[in-house]
Amino acid sequence: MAMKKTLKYIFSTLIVLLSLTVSAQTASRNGLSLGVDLSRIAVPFIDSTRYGWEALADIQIVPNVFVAAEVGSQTSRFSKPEYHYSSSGAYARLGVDYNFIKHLDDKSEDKIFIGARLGFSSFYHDADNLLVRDSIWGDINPQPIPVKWLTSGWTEVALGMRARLINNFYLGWSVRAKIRMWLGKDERMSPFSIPGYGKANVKNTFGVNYSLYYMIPLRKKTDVPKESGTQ
Amino acid sequence: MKIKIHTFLLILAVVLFVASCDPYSPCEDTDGVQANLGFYSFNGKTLADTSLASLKIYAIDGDSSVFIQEYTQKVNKINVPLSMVADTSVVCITYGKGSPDTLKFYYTQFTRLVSHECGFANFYTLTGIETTTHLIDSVKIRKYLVEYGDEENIKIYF
Repeated sequence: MAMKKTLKYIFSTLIVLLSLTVSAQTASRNGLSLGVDLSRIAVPFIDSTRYGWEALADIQIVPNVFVAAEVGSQTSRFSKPEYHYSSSGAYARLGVDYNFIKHLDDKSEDKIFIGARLGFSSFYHDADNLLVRDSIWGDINPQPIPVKWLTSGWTEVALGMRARLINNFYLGWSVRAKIRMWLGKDERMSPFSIPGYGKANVKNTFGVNYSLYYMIPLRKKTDVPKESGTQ
Repeated sequence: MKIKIHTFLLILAVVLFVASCDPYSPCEDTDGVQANLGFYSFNGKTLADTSLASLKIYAIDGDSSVFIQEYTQKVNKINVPLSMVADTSVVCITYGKGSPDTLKFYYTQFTRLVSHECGFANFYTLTGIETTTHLIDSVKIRKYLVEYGDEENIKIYF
């Protein structure tokens, strides 16, 4: 279910970006950048309870203004003596970046940017093997918490940079300040984390992306030569 | 130069990423969910808090009893854990001298996650209470929901 929603987000995002590609034929170094977040590879080594992936894309629509989209998926699982918890879901972010440096290389699209995002996530969670301890009256094993689907939305402010690595490959990073706007409610159990956002029990948080991009160049806009004798 | 910049940025990103990770915080709940009982007496004109000393509280489970708590100093309230195994709990209060009193709590209960650090706990909705009347005159439920906090659930009148 989460995978289907993820694929839907990816497809919709690519359709939007490709439609912008057709119209944005103004700069010779413009292109559609597609990337993956490399920091997601490191996450399981730092926090073994989480793993996921994130894909990114952006395209310049007017000089120094980029439309950006990110989609991804995250799964969290951990076991404690008192319960086993799992959650999984997909997320998407859409926003704009503003590049505030002049291009240093005529063939590249290095940038230092500030941007904003709207994020949305749909995910489920559940818990089983519950144990509640009581040294006086005795322990109990309550019924498992069934699967519950939740949604969340948030805003982000992004600050980052991207520089050309080689040919059309770029490396970039950004830091994000996130503010959660809403989170669905499960009366029996609050969620542990929100895919794409972070810990669910905080209303604001920070995040870091470190991404590898490939820029698909657009065709150069060429001038049509005037025919002699015509006006 | 670009390789040095990217190396620096990579290290910075990793440091920031690790710094942004929030490891588990320890659970700060040490007492659990308990019913709060307040002591009162009526002198013929006014109702006032009353304090008792040398109290011992026992959980009664069938023919056996389990020691819960002892209060050597004067107290005007006590906390009592309720059983999750059954929908009634019997608690005995001894006063040092004289006959003890026994309270029987009736309730429904439900399980909720307290926090991912502390895990799950049971909460109770009181439906009734019975008491012997050796030193206790009467009891009254003031707040039916038994949850975390100091809010009084039951008034015990002596």
